[in-house]
Amino acid sequence: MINTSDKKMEKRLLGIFLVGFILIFSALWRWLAFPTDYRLFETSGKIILQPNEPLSQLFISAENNLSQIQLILRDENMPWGENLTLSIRDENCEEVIRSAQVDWPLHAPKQYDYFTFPAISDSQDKTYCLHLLFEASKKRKYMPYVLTMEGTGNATDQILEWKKNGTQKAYAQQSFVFHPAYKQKTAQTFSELARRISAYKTSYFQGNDPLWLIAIFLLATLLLVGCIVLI
Amino acid sequence: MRNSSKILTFFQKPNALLGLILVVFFLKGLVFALIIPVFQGSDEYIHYATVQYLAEPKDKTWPITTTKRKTQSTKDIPSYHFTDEIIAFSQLTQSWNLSGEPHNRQIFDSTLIEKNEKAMRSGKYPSHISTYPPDVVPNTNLAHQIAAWGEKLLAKKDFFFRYFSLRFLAIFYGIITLLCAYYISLWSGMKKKHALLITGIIAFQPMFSATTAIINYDPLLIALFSLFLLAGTSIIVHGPRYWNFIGLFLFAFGAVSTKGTGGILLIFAIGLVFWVLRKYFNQLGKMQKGTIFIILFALFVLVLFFSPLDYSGIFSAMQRSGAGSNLMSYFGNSVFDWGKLERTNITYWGTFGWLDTQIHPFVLYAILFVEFISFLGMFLFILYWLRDWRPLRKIKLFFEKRKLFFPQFISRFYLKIKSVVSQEKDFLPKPEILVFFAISTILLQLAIRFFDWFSTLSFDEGIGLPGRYFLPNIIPHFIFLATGFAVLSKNARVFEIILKTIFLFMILLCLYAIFLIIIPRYYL
Repeated sequence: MINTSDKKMEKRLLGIFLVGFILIFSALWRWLAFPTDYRLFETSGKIILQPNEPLSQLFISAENNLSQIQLILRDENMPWGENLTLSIRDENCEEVIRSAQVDWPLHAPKQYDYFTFPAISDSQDKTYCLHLLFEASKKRKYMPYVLTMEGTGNATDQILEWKKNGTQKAYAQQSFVFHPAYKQKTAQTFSELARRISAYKTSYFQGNDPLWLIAIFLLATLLLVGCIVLI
Repeated sequence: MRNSSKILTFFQKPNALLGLILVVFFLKGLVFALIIPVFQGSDEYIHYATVQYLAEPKDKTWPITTTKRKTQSTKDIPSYHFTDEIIAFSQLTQSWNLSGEPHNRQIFDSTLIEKNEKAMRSGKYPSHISTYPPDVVPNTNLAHQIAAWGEKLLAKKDFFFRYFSLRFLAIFYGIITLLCAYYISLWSGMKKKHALLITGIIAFQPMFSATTAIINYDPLLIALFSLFLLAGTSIIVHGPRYWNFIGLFLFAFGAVSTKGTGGILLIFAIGLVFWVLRKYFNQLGKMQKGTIFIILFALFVLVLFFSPLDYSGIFSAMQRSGAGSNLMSYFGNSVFDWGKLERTNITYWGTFGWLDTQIHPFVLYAILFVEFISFLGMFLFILYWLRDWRPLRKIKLFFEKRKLFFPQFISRFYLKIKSVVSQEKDFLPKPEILVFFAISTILLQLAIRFFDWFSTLSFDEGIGLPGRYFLPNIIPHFIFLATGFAVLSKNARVFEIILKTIFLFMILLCLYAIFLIIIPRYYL
C-alpha cells in the first residue's frame, strides 16, 4: 500500500497539474471549429488598427453553426485598458449578432487569432459583416494591425474603415486574411480532426487511429504522473 | 481501488517506472511523428532525399540528365534535384505553401487527398534522383546510411510507409538518450528517485520530443553524444575499464561520422583519457610518454583526415588572411547578441515546423525565469566551492565587516542562504562529473558557433544557431538545472518536490505544444 498521508504537497501539485491539463484541453475544445474552405492565401499588405475606427467586411457563411472567425492579427496582445472586439453583424453592419474577444493569449505567434462565439445555428448562405473594433485610451508606439491579401479572399467586398468623423475609407481590392469556421457535433468534430490528421499519413494510422493513439498517450501520461508523483 | 493501488505499487519499482517513462516517450514520439505533416520537420526534404539517394541501386539504369542548378527556393521544391517521389508529393500537395506561411493549411479536400494518396501509393513516381547534380547532404554519414538501409529494406512498401518508418526510427534514438539520462544521473551521485524524475523531465522537453520524431541526423547525434557522456561518466565514477574506453572512442567516432560537430568528442575523449590515466602516466618514462602521445596524435589525425566527413575545407578557411580576427569578432557578436540568443532559446524549447510554429514568447520567458533561479543556485554552489580562495575570502570579509550597513532582512536572508548552501548534501552530483559536463557544454557551444562562422566565411551564409543543434547536451543541461535547485534545497525531500514540480510543468508544456501549438497550426 502506498502511504499517501505525508503526500500533501504531492496532492497539491497534482491539483495544479489537473487545472493546467483542463485549461489546455478546454482551450483546444473552444478552438475545435473547422473552416470549410481550403484556400491558400498570400498576404500582401496590412492595415493598422486605429482606436475607435472600426474595420468591416462582408462575407457569406458557407455552413450553419458559424462559431469562429480565424483572423491574422499582429501585436494583438492587448495591454491593460485596451480591447479588441470582433463582432458578427447583419449585412448593413449595424445589428450585433455575436461578438468575441481574441481567444487564449498564449497561442503560437504569427498564426491565426481565434475569435470564438456561440454558434449561429442558421447561418448557411447568409451575408454577415465582420466588424473589428480596437478600443484604446491612448496611442502606443506599435499599434496592432491586420494582415491583408489582394482580391476578396473569403469576403464578398472590400474592407471599409469607419472614421470618427462619420466618413468611410474603402481599401480597394483588399481583404482580411480570415476563415469563418463552423462548430460541429462532438462526434463529427472528432472525426473531422481525425480525418485531417490522417491525411497523407502511413496506412497503419488511418481513420480514427490518430485519435486512439492520442487517447492512449494521454492515459499513459496520466498513469505516469500518478506513479511518479506519488512514489 | 485495490487494482489501482496494485498498479501504483508495481510502478514504485524504479525499473518499472523507467519502463513506463520509455513507453510514454514512445507513444508521444508516435504522436509527434504523426501530427507534424510530411516534410514540415526541419530540413526533412534534403535529409530524406539523401536517404533515398543512398538507397538507390548501384547500377543506375534510369535516364539521368545533368543540368545547371536553377535559382532554388523553398517555395519551389521542384527547383531542387530531389527524387521524383519527393517532387511529385510536393507538387501534388503544394506542400511548400505550409513552410513559413503560418496562415496556410494543407488542402483538406477529401477527394483531392484520396487522389493524391492513391497516386503516391501507385509506385509511378520513382524514389531515385534523375536530375544531377543531386541536392543531397554533401558528406554521407552514419545517420543517413542507417536510414538508407531501412529505406532499402522497405523498398516494396509505399512512400508513406517508408517515410513514417524512418520518422519512427528517430524515436528509438530518443529512447537510447533517455536510458543514458537515467544512468548518467544515477552514476553522477543522484538518488534513484531524482534520476527518474530528471529522465522524466527530459522525456517531455518539447523540442527534444519533436526532434526525435523527424527524419534528420540530429536524433542519432543526440543519442551518440549521450552514449559518449555515459561512457565518460562511467570512467570517472567507476574507474578506467576497457569497455568504457572502447565505448568512449566508438561513440565519439560514431558522432564524428554523423555530423561535423561530433568532431569535438574525439578531442574530448583524448583529453579525458589523459586525465583519467594521469597517475599511471606519471609513472612512465619519457620515451613511453612520447610514444603514447605520438600514437594518440596519429590516431587523431587519421580519424580527422580519413573520417567520412570532410574537414579539409575548415583547415583551408582557417588559413585565410584575417580569419582569426574575423572569428573573434564573430564570437563577440554572436555570444552577446540577445536577438540571436532569444532565437536559439525559442528553437531549443519549441519550434515545431519548418520556419514557424513556435511556443509563445511569454512561455519562453517563464522557462528562462526558472532557469535563472537554478543558475543562481549553481552560482552560489561555485562560490561555496571556492570559499577558501583568497580573493573571495577578502570580498567575504569586506561584506561581513559592513553588514551593519545592510538592512536586517538582507543579512538574515544571506545567513539563511549560507546555511542552506553550506549544508552537507548526499543528493548532489559529484563535482568532477559537473566539471566533465561543463567541458562538454563549452565544447559543443564552441563547435556549433565555429561551424556557423565557418559557413559564413565560406558560403556567405551561416548555418544559424537553431536550438536543436544544442540538444546533444540535453542531459548535462538538465543535470545542471537540477543541481542549481539541489543547492537551494535544504534537504532531499525539498529537492524531490522541486523536481516533481518541474516534471509536471514539463508535461504541461509538452501538451501545450501538441494541442495548442501544433494541432491548431496544421489542422484547424
